[in-house]
Amino acid sequence: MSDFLKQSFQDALTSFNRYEGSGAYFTLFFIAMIIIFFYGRESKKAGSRDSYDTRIIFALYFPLLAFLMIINPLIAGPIMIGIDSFVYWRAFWIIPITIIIAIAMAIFVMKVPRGSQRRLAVIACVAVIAVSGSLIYNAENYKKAENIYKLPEEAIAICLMIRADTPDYASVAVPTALSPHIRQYDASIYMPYGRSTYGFHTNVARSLQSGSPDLESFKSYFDKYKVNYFVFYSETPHEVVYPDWCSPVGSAGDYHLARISGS
Amino acid sequence: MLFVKALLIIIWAMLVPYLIGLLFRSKIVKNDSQNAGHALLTGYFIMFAFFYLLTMPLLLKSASLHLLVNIFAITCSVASLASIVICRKHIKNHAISVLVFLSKSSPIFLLALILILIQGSVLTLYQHIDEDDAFFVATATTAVETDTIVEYDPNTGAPLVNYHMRYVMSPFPIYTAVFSELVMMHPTIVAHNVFPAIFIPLSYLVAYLILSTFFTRQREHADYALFFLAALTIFGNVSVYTSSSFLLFRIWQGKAMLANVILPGLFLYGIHAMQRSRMNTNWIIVAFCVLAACLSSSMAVALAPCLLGVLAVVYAVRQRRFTPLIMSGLCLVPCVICGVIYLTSVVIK
Repeated sequence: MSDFLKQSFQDALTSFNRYEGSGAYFTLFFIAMIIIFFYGRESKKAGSRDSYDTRIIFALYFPLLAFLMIINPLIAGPIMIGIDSFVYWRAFWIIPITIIIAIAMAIFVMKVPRGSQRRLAVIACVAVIAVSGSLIYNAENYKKAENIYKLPEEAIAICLMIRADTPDYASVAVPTALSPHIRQYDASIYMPYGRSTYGFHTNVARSLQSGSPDLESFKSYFDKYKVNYFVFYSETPHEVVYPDWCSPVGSAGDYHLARISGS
Repeated sequence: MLFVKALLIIIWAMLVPYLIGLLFRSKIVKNDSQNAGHALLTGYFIMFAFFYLLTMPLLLKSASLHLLVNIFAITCSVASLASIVICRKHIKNHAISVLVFLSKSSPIFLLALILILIQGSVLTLYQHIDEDDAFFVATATTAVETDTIVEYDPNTGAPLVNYHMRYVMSPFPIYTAVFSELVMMHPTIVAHNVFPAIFIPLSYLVAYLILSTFFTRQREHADYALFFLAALTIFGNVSVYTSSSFLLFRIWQGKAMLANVILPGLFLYGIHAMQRSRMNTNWIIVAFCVLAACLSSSMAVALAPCLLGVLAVVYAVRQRRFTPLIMSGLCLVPCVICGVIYLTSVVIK
């Protein structure tokens, strides 16, 4: 039992570390709760009991208790049995961290006299946010949309080529980079494996992505899974030797579509 | 054609939820003095809850997707038309109050609105490729292609043999499929273009209603807080696991909706229900939120009880009453049922 609790606590802490990232937002969050605590006391002195209760429950008792509950192994342990412990960090979603920080910043700014002083306070708060956080809009996270489907252009081109080649049954084996996208565009096209591959499927997907696939070795696999098209990645397609049981259909960038004859 | 589609999106994403929410609030929540924002949000929770209750039996009966679309569309349309007839006075009042609200907006509120609009439009002009879409979006395209509800594996297209109970019990991708049928668009276009433009502002609406609850009758405070919240979200990529990252990367997925719209909504209406000492109709909205949570993600089975449970304990201790605990327990019955099914499937595996 104690091992289970120890492990659960460890997993909860790992989830916390994963969620908090640099930890700066959580630091702001705890400072925010202190600010809100004193602000709540002020509103109590001002005579509004209801408003004090809401504020103090909202921004102090609830987040604190929720945080303690999430890292408590007695609660975390049973939850992690039901869900994968790897995604336990999602438990932190119940705490409105950014809303509480925003409230504290608003309280701080409203304490500053109107005019240039308040504008400076706003700029200071934004600077704190910028320094503590990490800008979501960067080239790593977003790129210019290639099409209205927001899918890689190659995946769409492959689907269109298959549908131009046959209106009937089509099952395509694709490299790992394309496997998540094909059926988002055209769900009438079957695939022997999807994004999460296992066993020999993984070997096939990786090999098709490798740049120099050994096409001959896939024949029995394609027959077994009734695959009648396949795509491989190659920067030098002219060097690829097609076995006699397949023929090229077309290319989309460095991805090349081939039809399996007789299937 | 583009105009027709835009009109359909406005109808199904704005008008229908607003009208349904308005009908509920004006007829069930007596003496409701809440604004149009509450009507829209309540309408969304009612629609999601109804969709969940409708989808589950149809899914178990292996019904077709178009049957689900028809029943959902007819029911929502009838409720909306009834709302137009019954609540026309409220609609006029809300329209005027929204105009007054906007006309009295401070520069900081307008700045916050600009930041929110930028966030909504970035996902329209740019793309963030998320490989989880291989399941979440492909489930929607598969449903539309096969005219079925979760009967085929979205990864391969083969008939589903072993149901992954966690995903079957949270059919948010089917909502994407139904919405795409209603607006006559491809599910992938809906997920990657339409949903961000709707759900990102919706998540800020929930947040603004929470801020307004905290800063009662202090609009300027709430406006500043909204501005800071928009800035915190833009800089919220402290890890890929934060709700901000989920909001701006993949709001079309059920789990992102859970983190950014449904759990904050549960928090909002949980507070509204519990802060009043007497029994009140906000508990019904809490129950709708719980059903909406079950629709959105299997994680709701754990997260909704945690959130509502903590809130109920705090209020029960503070008010020295058992009502928050008892009512929360009743509202959480759908989560308990789903939880038992998940655990049973885990044990059987």
